[in-house]
Amino acid sequence: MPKFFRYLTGAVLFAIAAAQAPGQTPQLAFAYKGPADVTAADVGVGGTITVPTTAVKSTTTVLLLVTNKGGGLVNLNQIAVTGPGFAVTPAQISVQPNTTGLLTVTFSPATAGIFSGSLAMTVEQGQPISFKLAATAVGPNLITSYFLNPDGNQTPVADGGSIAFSPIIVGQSGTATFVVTNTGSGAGVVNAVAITGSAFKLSGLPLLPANVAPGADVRFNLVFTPSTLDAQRGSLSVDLGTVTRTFVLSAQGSGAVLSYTQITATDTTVLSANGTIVLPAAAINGSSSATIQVSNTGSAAGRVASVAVVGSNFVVSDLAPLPVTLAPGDTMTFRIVFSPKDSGPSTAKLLIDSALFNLQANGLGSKLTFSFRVGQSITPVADSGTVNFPNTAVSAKLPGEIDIANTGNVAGVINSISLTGQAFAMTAPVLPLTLQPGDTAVVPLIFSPDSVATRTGVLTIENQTINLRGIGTAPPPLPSYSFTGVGGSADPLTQPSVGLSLASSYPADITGTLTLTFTSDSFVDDPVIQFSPGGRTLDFRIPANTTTAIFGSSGGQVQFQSGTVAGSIGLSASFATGSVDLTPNNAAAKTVKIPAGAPQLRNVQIGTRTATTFEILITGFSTARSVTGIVLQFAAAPGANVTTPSLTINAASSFSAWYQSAASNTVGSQFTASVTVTASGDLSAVQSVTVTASNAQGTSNSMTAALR
Amino acid sequence: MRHVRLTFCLPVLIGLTPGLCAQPAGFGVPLVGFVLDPRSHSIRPVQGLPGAALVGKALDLPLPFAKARFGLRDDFALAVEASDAGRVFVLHGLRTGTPSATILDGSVTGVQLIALNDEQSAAALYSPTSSQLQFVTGLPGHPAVTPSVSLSGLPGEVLAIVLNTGGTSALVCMSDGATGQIYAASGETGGVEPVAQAFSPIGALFYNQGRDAVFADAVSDELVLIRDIHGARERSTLAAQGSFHGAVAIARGKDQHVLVAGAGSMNVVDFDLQQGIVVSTTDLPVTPTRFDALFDPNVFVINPAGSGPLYLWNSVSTPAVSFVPFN
Repeated sequence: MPKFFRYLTGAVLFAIAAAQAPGQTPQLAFAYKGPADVTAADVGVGGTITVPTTAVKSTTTVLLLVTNKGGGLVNLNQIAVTGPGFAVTPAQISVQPNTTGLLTVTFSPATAGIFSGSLAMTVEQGQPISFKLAATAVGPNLITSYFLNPDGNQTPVADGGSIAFSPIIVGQSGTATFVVTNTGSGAGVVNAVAITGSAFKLSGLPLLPANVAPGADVRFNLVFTPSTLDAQRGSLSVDLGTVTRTFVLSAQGSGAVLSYTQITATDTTVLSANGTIVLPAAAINGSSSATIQVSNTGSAAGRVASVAVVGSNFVVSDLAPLPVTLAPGDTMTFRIVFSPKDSGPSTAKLLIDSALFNLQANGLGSKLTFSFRVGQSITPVADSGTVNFPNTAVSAKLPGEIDIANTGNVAGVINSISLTGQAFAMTAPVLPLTLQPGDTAVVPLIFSPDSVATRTGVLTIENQTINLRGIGTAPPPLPSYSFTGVGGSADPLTQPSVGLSLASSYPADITGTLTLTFTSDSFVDDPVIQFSPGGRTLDFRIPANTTTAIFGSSGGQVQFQSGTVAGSIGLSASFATGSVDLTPNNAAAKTVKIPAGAPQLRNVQIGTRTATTFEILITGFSTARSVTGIVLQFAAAPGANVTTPSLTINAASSFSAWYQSAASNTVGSQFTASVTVTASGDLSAVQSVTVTASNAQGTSNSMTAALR
Repeated sequence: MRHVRLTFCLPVLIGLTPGLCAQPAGFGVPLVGFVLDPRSHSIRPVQGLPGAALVGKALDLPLPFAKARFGLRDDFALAVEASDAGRVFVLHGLRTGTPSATILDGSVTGVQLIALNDEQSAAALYSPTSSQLQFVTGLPGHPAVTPSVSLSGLPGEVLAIVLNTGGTSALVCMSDGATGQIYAASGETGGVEPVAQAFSPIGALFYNQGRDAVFADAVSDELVLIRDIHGARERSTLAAQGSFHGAVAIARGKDQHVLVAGAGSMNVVDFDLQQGIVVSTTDLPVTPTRFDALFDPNVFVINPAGSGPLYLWNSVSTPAVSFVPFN
């Protein structure tokens, strides 16, 4: 209605009323104006003041304008309202003529709905006036409810009510959707939401504050994630603007609870996560074990899907095929077997699904560790490792040693130590050898290369091996040397001694051969020219750092036979250290001259006799391999007469034939010649015969044989 | 007055009846003697002169021999077969290089000791398994055994046996190592009579035509003379004590000398019985285990063949030791 019309209508209504009342009637015009109104709306007495729609718990103020159009002061008294939610102030106003007085009418509905009331006042100068009050209160009606996911029914929950979750498997999550539904006529609001309880959390919360339009709702989730089987409690607070509603949250974890125990013969130990399972100590290559029991102390079936050991020396044994389902109260067992390969502590991890335990046990046994010591250097050596000796000259002796330590925890016994490799020698300790833990034994070694080459060997201690290696280097040259004990010449039929001496000592053992040669003046060898042990070569050795050659059991001098043939005996030597020849290019040699001389007789005896003959056996030698004549001198027996006092034999051809025979070559120039003498007459007249032999060099000694 | 004219063969004839001559009958390699090589159970010649000798190759024998005693002058040997049977053989022709071997019929078996008399016409064989001492006569050409003499029951073991010149009786040296006895055993009667007590008599010699005896004791280191061994048995210790130690053998030297080889003293002592003095002591380069004469009665072998060279002691001129290498 246009304002003009409305104003006009009111004014008209009042005036009519004024006209009908006897006496003087104030001329009041009433209009009201809501907070959003630009202009006031006329209202006649008895009319209705319509309060704008008002949200519950809010206040709408309507101004009632009382305009005194009369000429006198109008006092309005006992201004009061009736009806829920209505209020007016002041209770009395005075309005001067042609002024407007204001009455403030408030409507503060507590609830939504249509409300009516009245506004009455008395006019001091007139009739009471009343108006009807009409208001509509609008407000949300927030209904809180929830439903358990996934398929729970929506259940209202009032302030202070409880939201109970279904049992949730420990470690899993369950959700409930909380719904704030506005069944009211006005928008509601959710200002804030808070949750308590460690097992509870909010999810899917919209931006707050969130308006809830009438007929709409706001939802969010409550998430319950139990970590234990314990009952969990929490609270949910929802600030709905005008009120905060609190709800009790309750839930319970559920599911299997696996507990672990170690069972021994004497006790049972509960195992905690990351705890340590200690197995009994076991000897190397032996074993020990522990029994592990898994028990389901929970409220639901549990499952053991994997049992594994990470680490060496421990294995799982007697395990049922997995996965194993354990009903509440069920148990399963398996064993952990510890089989040490080495002494000392061993550790590993046992994983039963995600439960982790530490495994620990002690291997019992001796452990031999080795180190190589040479000079000031000490080097650890692994089994099957290699030790390198410093380069060493051939035949020098470089000492080293292998130190054996028992780093185990029980005594060890060494029953065997062996060595291969020609260039290496060892001094083994007395076996069997017992090494207590911490003890050390030493195996001295000598590296003595026998050639200029890489030399290898293997030292085996029990079943462990150490490879030995070293390089032989060229030895120093041989010092000068000389032959001792024998001169430049020797008599025949003698056994002179010869020795060999270095001018200075040599740092390594020397081996060698002394050699006899013979250059005969008569082009025929003398086989008796030999060393006393036999033969014309003789081995010797010169120990390191000495100068005298040792000829086996003959010592530092060895005899040889000079023979019975004129010529030159040569002595020469070869030298070596290891397999390296040390013999100098212009090796020194010794010559011993056997001079040619007159024959020498050694024995004359009477051989076969007859009545008229007798044999003279003449034994001797002639270095010139020549006997040209033999003279026999006969001595008469007492009182007898030998008419042939002497006989001279031209023996050249006979001896020449002898010395050309093979038989004569076996003993040089030695001979036993048989001469038969024929006698005519009384042979007993001959007492004895004296023999001499001669050659170009002279006449021999004489020897006599008696016939009587 | 006896007269003789002597000739010898062409090309020289000196004042002779024409047609008669003397000829060098031949030449040969000087031979010192023979030794038994225990390694090969063979007999090997020692060729050459001491100082330039060699032990030659083994003789070609039909059997191996464990023991041998050589009759040096007459080129034969008594040898015991190297077998369980232990038969005794007479070997002839050693110098030929291929001697013959003839079994000695009736000899005891298991012979460990063989002794020859100085004439080398008789021998004594001793078998410890049967404790029998057996005499052999007629050597070398017609050997014949005599009934054996039993030595069983006598304490100790037989260390040495020596025959008298005639080969009819023997001195038997016995000892258990601590105490011993020398007995005289008769091949003619079979009787055994004690001659002298000793500790360990290692050898004995007859002297004075068999009336006296000399023995060496390895424990007391004495050289003992027993005069009148079949009668008064007067005992005297010769002045040789201290000159040897650990005697292993005794032998007859030239001119009434006694030779003793001492293993402990490693020497040979030459004792002059008539003068009653030690005339020489020769140090040895090896320990003597024997003292056996070779062809030359002044040359003795002092060690067994097989371990290094053979060693000879000889007193041809001054006592000397020489080695003989094996060829």
